[in-house]
Amino acid sequence: MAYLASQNQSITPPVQISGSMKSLNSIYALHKKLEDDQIIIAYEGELNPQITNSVLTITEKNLDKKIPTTQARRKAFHIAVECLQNISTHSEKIEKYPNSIFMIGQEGDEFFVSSGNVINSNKVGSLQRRLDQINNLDKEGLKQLHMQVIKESLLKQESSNAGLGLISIARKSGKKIGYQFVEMDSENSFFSFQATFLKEPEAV
Amino acid sequence: MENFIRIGNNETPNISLNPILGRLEFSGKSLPEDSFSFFKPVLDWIDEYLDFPVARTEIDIKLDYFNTSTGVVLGKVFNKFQEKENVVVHWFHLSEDEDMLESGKEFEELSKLNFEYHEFQ
Repeated sequence: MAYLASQNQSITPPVQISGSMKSLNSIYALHKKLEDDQIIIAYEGELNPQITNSVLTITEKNLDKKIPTTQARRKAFHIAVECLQNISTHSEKIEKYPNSIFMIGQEGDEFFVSSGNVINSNKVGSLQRRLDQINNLDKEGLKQLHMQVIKESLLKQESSNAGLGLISIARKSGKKIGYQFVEMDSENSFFSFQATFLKEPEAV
Repeated sequence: MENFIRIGNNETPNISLNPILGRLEFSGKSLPEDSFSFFKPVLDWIDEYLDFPVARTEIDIKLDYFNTSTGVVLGKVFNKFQEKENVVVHWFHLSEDEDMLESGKEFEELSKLNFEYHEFQ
């Protein structure tokens, strides 16, 4: 096991009440892994509007504790909201794979907000095109696209803000959005998403 | 026509709409997942108000955070006041929140309304 406590740490003999030893070991391993990687929040499970709201409440508390600069905290929260709401509102539920994952952490001079959820494979192409379109735009281009999409949404009687979340995330992040699709079965793919931003704003 | 008052929480803003004073105030946080349903009564109230608006309407936007769907609704609110006389939008942003200031400028550009900018703590 990769994350077992190292030899020099004292480990009390586990008292096994029921179930397997594997789960006893892995809870410490998982805790240690999350601590070592300085994870600010991690959630794995279903994301419906109610749960999303609770996750956001905890996220905000943890960000207040763990991110010292106001600006970085705001960015992280903004990206977290759009990221979670993209999954819980805009993606259709797939019964076979109800769970999503969401995480905020840090690596070097950056914070990251990541998520993963299962989508129907026939959505991969259009989502990839949209992400590539966003990633190919510079700051001004993103602003123009953002305003254009808002204008279009305003004209519609049926209110929608489709696509705005991703553009907004890209604008907050100032970096390219990272993504990956992994085929899970003949119909479904896992969509991994990551937005990063600098801990300290770049000097202008 | 009656005042419209909603007390906000973690997810929704405080809203106060006063037809006598011609004052529409939004403050706090706004991140409802379904902003369009949440703000429907506000948009309906504004439609009614615009039948007989007072001489000067002031719209205070004092949000420390709003999600993108709230942004579209704000756009709809401003659109309703296009081509009306004497409308001022007071756009507040927390000090150092450049992004919020920039959002205000974008809404000003989109709506062509008269925006005034204020900082708050």
